[in-house]
Amino acid sequence: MRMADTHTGTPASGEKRALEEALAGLQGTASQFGATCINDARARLQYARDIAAVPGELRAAIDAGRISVSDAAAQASALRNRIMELARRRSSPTARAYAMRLKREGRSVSELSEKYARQLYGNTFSALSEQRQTSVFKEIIQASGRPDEGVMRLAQQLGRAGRRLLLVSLAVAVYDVVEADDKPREVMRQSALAGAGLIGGWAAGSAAVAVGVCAATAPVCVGAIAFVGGLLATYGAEASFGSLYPRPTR
Amino acid sequence: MTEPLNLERRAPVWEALSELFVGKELQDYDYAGIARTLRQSGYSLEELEKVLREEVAPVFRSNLSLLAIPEMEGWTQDTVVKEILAYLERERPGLSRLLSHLVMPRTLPDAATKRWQQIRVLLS
Repeated sequence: MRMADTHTGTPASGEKRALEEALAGLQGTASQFGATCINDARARLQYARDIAAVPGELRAAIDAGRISVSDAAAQASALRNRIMELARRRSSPTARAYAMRLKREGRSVSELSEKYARQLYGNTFSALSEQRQTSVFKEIIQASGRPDEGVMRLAQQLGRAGRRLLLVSLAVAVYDVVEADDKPREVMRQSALAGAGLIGGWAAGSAAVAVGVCAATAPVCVGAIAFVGGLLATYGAEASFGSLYPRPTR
Repeated sequence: MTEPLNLERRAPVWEALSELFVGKELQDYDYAGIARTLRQSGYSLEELEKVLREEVAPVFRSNLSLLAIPEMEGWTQDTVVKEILAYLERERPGLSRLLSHLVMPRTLPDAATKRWQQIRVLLS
């Protein structure tokens, strides 16, 4: 994939340029996917770490007498919901669409109290003794920081896939730079392609939701538009870069 | 399961089965609670598995997908019923319907499969 050959103006060179543009588009899209996967994996791992920290902090506050058990349960529920919202905001438009496909708001503490009362004691919360109600609150606090390891491990797979894609993209970029006659120009070109793919994909996905082309909860639609946006942005960057900094002629 | 949908009977089953798709680690009491609800429904194990694969999983599996920031505490019965009814009543184009018949009912996310196996043990 030698990208720095000279133009000769022949039909063959035109075909070669078209091929280079297509490859540049794919390379930019691979960079975009790689970076997006890594970002989403980080957001998910941070989410798991943040919610796991909640029970410890609340238990310390209860032990110090700064907060009652029932208030701590309410805070655990509210904190978990807020952490979930923040993690979703940090995710890519496609991942956000996946996350919002179902519920947009977390369960309230009263809903959780009923759920745990039923699961733990097979009864409604109001029918429980004070001691059992306290146990329910304590379990709500504990459960708020108990992510499933297997489910969270998926984030590591996503991160690994992203890193592989970025490495492939980087290897192609390095090869192109090494093979280029004008190396500083090629470095700038590769940076422009990677940046355009990333920003284009992210912006297209976000815009698709903002202007209503896709519902915020339609991941396939958002993902497809992010893909096309990244590809078009890379093509655009390749064309603009070629106009601004024409290739050197031998 | 071709009899008309009895929502009063089915809703608690849907809610219980949707718990298999939450992001938190399920505890023994969660499994026991889910199994209790399923047992009380009177459905056979085969019927429950069909409900899980054809009605609940297509709606809630996205919570366990690679891309999701998963919901940890599950969904209220109202939400579960609303989402599943919307899924069942949705008109799907030919290809999507074919795919959902061929692929979706047979596959469950890994976490949901493991959890369902535990429930099966409790029910059998």
